Amino acid sequence: MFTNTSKYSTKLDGVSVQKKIVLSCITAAILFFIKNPLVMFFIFLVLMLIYFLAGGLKFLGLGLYHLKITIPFVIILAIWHLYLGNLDNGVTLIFRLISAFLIANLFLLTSKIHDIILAIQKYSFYLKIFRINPHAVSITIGLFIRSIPILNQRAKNLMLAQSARSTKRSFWRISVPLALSILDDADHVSEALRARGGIKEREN
Amino acid sequence: MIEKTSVLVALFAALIAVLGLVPAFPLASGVPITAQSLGIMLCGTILGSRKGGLAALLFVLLTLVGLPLLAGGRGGFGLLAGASAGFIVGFPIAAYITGWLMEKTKSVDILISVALSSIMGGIVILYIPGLIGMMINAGMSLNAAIVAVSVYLPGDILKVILATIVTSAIFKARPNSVLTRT
Repeated sequence: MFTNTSKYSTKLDGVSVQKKIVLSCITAAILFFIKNPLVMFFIFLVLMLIYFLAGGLKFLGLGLYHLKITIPFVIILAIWHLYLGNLDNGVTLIFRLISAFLIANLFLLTSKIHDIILAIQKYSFYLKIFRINPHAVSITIGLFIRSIPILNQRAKNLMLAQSARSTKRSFWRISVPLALSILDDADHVSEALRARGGIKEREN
Repeated sequence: MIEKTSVLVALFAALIAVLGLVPAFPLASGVPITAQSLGIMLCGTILGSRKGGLAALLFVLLTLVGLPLLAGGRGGFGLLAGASAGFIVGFPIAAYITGWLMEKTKSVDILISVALSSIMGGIVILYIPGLIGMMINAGMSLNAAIVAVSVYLPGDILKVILATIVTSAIFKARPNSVLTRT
């Protein structure tokens, strides 16, 4: 269900998820402190160069293709700042948006979702500092990931059942049975968890 | 007890994600109309402040880390530079406040309680970070941002009605399942 990883192999595939996420977050955070449009444009060019050096021209093309979701907002930003006559700020905001997505996509395209989840679960151990049970966090994340395709399939089945009863295909008609089925699942899964020893209390 | 909490948080976070798979209507402002804010309202009205807020927080954190769970398969921290940034950050706050208001209006009729809590948490509170996000990321004035987000209000009113129908139907069928009323 979650397949964001690039089909092209890159030089960043072997770098650990932890290193990539820390670097990506720091770089993305720095973007918010840059106010000069030329500097922002230069960063955009550097990022394109990194894509090219990491995976070649096809990987760069893939990175640019993934920017398509920013197009509506880029158009609005451009029109709005043209209308205000504040081009410098407009250019800065547009290249900040594009660069932030390039950085995030670089991380996602070169990291498997499975590795990202494992890294989160591994480092949830440190949540003990905040008196949060890391075992509970780990199990909750696992259950969350596992439940999405199941609930998605159930919603589709309910839609099919609804279409057998009526020609009207509206989502609201299945919302109550879907919510009730989730509450049923919660009872069953929590009982199954308890039967298998339950979630451990905080470990020292 | 911790098992039930973990499972409810995980399943309702998954519900928010599944609601993102319901086709969204992209708008010119860059923030699409999606059913995910309905999930945020349901987290608050059914699970209550703490569990509802945690479910929304789990969804937001894993979306920002990179899972493509937002409508249109969006994910990653790049979203924080986009038009939806404020709304995404506001999801856990909105779910928490919705749940908190439900807990504080236990004595009121459930229809009124859910409707008021959803309007306050899912619209009023959610729009505050949403507007701030648009002002920061789009360089808009407050008035311009208010005009830009006003197109979402009719859809949000529909979601409030739906959240009220779903929560009250669950309460009638299984009163103990609506944790804000137990």
